[in-house]
Amino acid sequence: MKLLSATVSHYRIHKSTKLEFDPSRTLVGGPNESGKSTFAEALHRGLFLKSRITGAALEDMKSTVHVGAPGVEIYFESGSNQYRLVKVFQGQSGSTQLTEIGGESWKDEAAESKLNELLGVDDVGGGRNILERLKNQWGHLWVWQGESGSHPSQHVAQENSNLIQRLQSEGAAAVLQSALDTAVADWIETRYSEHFTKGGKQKAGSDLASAQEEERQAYEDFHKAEERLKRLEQAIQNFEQSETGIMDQEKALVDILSQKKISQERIHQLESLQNDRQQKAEQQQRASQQLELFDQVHKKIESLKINRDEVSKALAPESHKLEDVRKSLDASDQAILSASRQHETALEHTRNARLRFDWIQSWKNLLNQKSQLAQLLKRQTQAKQLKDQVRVVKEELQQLPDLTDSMVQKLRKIESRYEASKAVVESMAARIEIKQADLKVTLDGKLIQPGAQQTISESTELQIGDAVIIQLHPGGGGSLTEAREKSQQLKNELAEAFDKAGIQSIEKANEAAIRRTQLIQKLEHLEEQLKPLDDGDLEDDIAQLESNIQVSESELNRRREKLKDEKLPDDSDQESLKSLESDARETLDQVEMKENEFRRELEMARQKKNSITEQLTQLENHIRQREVKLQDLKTEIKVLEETHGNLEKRQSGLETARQEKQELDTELAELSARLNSMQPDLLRSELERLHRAEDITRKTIQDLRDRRAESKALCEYDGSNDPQMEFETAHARLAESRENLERENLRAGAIQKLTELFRSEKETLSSQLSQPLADRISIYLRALFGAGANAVVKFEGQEFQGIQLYRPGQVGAFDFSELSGGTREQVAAAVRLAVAELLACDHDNSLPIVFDDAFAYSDPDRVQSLQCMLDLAANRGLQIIILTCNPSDYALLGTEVRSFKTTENTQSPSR
Amino acid sequence: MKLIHTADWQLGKPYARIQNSQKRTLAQRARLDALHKIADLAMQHQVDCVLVAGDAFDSPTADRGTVSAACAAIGQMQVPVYMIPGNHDHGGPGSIWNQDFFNQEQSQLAPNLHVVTENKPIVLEKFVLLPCPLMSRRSLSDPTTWLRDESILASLDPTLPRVALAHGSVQGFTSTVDEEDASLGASNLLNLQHLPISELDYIALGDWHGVKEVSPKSWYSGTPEPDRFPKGDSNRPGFALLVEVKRGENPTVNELHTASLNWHEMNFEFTQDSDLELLQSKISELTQNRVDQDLLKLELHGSLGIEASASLEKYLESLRSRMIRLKLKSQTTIAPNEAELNELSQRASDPLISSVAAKLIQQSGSHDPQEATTASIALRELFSACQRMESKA
Repeated sequence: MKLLSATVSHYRIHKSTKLEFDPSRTLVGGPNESGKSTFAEALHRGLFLKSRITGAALEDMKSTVHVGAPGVEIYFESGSNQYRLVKVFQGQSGSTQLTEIGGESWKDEAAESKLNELLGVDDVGGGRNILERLKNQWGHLWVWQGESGSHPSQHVAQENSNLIQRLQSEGAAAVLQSALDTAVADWIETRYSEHFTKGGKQKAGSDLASAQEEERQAYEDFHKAEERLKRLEQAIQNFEQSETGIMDQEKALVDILSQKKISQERIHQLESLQNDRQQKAEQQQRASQQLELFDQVHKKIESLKINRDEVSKALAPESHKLEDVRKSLDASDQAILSASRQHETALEHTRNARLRFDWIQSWKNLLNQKSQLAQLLKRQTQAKQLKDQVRVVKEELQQLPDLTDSMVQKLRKIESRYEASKAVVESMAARIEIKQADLKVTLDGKLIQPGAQQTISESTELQIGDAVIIQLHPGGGGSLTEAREKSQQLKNELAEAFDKAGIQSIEKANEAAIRRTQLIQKLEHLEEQLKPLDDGDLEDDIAQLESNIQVSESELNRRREKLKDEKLPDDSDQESLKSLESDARETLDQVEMKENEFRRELEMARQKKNSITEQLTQLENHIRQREVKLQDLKTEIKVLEETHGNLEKRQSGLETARQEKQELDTELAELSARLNSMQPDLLRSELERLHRAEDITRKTIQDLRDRRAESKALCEYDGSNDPQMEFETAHARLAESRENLERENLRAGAIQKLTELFRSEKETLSSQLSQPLADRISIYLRALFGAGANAVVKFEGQEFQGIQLYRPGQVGAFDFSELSGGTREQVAAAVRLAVAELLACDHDNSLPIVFDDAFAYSDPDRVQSLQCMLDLAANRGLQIIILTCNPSDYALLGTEVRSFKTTENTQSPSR
Repeated sequence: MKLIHTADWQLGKPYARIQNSQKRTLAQRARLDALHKIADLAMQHQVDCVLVAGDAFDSPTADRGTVSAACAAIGQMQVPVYMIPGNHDHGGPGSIWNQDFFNQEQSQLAPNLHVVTENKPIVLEKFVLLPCPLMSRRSLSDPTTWLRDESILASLDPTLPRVALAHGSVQGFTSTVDEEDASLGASNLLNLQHLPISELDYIALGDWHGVKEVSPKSWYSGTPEPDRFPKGDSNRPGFALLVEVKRGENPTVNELHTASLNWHEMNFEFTQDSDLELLQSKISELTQNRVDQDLLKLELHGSLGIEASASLEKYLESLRSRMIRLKLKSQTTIAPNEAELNELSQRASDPLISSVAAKLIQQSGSHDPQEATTASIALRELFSACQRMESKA
């Protein structure tokens, strides 16, 4: 089928526009709004819309600028015939006329019907949404502006059955799944979805999941029941083991106790033997002691005798020596006596010499004292004179007023102030002098004799006779009174000071003060002289010295008395006394030296005697000790012999004791040997071991009894449940649930297998069926993308569902939806061309395909490939009609650009 | 002197493998019913006593409900009942015999019950009972050892029959346990050959669940109500023994049937789809289409087509409902038959189903059993889906 030409009249902007189509490539250029899309739409409606369409569809077509019903006239070729189609859209008056050029003609319904038959479409009817539905007519051949990139499946939908039919006739082995196939496949899918999720995972709530849950629950229950039963069985086993254990242990205990009894008897025997040995050992020890005692006594007596003889022997020379010492002592006594006499004589001489010397000393002392006394008495006289002078001065001083210079100065000051004040009063006061008076003149009542002057220093009443009284007021007013009062005050003060000092005038005071000072100085001078003469103790010193002199005199007398036999001077001066003293000293020194010499001799004699005495004492003591010792030895020997007998008796006793000990030694050795043969250590450790074994066994028995009681308590059931039965029931439930699970697993597995098989087989079928379409699409795609490009087409049931694109140099397939806008419109075009090509078989191997601004998003680079693809389609028999506002883009298509022609005929196409 | 010898009542057995609680109760109830039967038989045969040779209870910790029911049933026996603990209800610590509750129920509901827990002769009016109780789960020593002491037997009245009562395995017979009871462990061994058998008149044994004559004087009574699937023809549970004992003579022993439930075991192999019908008829023959009276252990082998396999599933569902327990071990594989194969994989009009089915058929023949099983189930699912969708269409 090919379009030859089309004329659109009174169709929106088109008044009457004609376009002639090239059989292969028609490129229509024109700016936007030039009516290209409207023309394409009018052409489509001319072919597929009923001419008597009313309502919105009709209104949509009407022109607002051109008067007349919208109409389309189309010339086309179908089969070997050419047809003229004229449609006028005028509501119920609309008309369709189809005329086979040079042949039959059809009108209206018949024409529409024939037209549908020629175009291979079903009647689209009218009614609501007619314009939408209309678009599906040859939807795959009409690429409306703005819809070029949409999924090709939706444009192919209308042609699915034709396409399938075509594909089936194309592919040799290709078969289409039946309705039953689909129904069964759907049912299997439904079953699958009951068991599995879309992701292929097991579905919650499915039979399988429930079976698994049941199995899990059953296992849990079984596990619990098993645990309970095991606990019970363990308790029973423990009880039984405890019971057996108790029996075994009790048996073992009996054994142990019997062994213990034997062991204890042997120990008892051992102890008895040990007791015997102990006693024997004690006897043996006593015998040994006895023997030793006898031996010791014998040895001791013999030793004592030897000792006695030795002592006795040593005593004789010591007695001789004693005699010698005693003689030496007598000689030394004689020597002492002689020395003592010589010393006494010397001592007498010394005493006499000392008496004489002492007498001279006393005498010398007395003379000294007397001389001192004379000096003191002289000082006493001088002092007495001075003291008398002091007394005189002091007496005079006492009579003088007690005035110091400062006091006199002070008096002077008062006096001078008084004198000054008196001068002031006198200078201010009036003076009255009675020169002559007949009458008695009184001043303030005091009679004034004539010639007498009177000073008035204050207001004074002057009465003359009885008749005249004159009040005199001296000048100065109040100051006079004040001056007079002050003068009076100073006068009183001065008088008081004089009274106090006991003087009458200042001159007297001055004199007294001078005298006083003189006297004090004299007194001080006298006291200064007196001080070295008598410090206050002079009297006492004199008295003391006098007393001493008395003592010295009496001592001198006394000494003289002792020397009365000697001829001595009764008086002597100092010098002679000195000579005497010197002689006496010399004599005394000599006799004292002599006396010392004799005293030393005496001392030596005494020392010698002491030494001899000491020697004698020591010797005597020594001999005494020996004698005592000898006596002791003798006594001891005697006592011992009395106790232990004489030598013969002793030797006999010693022998007896020795024999007795020997016998006991033998017996003891025998007992020890018997004891050792019994292995006492082993016996004791055996008993200890048996004790331990008994304890342990008893403890074990107790433990086992406890364990048995514990196990028994655990075993005791009250019958409210039966663990054995519960276990068996749980076990059975588990087995059932597992069987069920296995069944469900198998069933689910079968469903899964079926689903997988159905899916894969469907895909195989689909791919077989769609292969011719895919091959054709691939041919066009290769023109676009290069030699490696391939298409895979998906069919679901009887529907074309989609396309996947494999592009050279890129890994994996791309779904249509994944492609870019430009690629989408190109791939969609390839699909349309392939479908058109396939369907063209029913239309003389040719179908027109209209692209209305269909490649708006394609890159300029790709446009060349596009032209290749479109040219390829044209070469393969399709009638390519391109409407574009950019005809230059298609310069390489190798066809001229056509434009709309406005025809003369402005009428609607004639019927 | 006549007595009923019974043992291994295993009261309170949980039958945990029976999933349906009502059916489980039925199985448990049947064990008590056996006691009622024994009570009837005791009265019917006018026995002097009932001897229970251990394992009256399934567990040494049986619950109160079981204890009460047991005491009530024993109380109906109207003759003295002498019972020893067995390995299941041993007299060890924690055992039921020490429970206050048991003692209370026994005194109130079963005053005729004597639980013997001591190894010493009990001299009764007509015989001497020589009890050999098990006082622990696993007695290392032979509980009959005490009977080897000749002085004990010599001291007994020579005119009174002597009846020993013991629980355990004798040489050559061990109470093989079901794999489901494996937790219970091995039994205790009795060396009867060491006993002065001439001095004894009857040995009443418990532990082996089928009737068994060990020697003319020693018998296992077996359990009065089977409690497991049969272990061969020689094992015959479901009886009590009526024993007539005389001093110095061999006893007269008669079996008394007491069982109420039927335990079956069947192995079946499918070689073709039509074998399913054969299986159904065989099972019908075995169970007489009874409901809630049978327990069936069924082992299936071989393979079935998809449709037959689905039919088998439906049939098994019905069996599960009818049986007290269906213990099924099915190793049946799903192998689509030719028609099914064609139906699935030769669908020219449904290429998807065909190709999926072809793949599954291929995988179901895999050496990897997991893959093969999964593929088989998937195939069945696919088959069922197709049928469902087609029927919808």
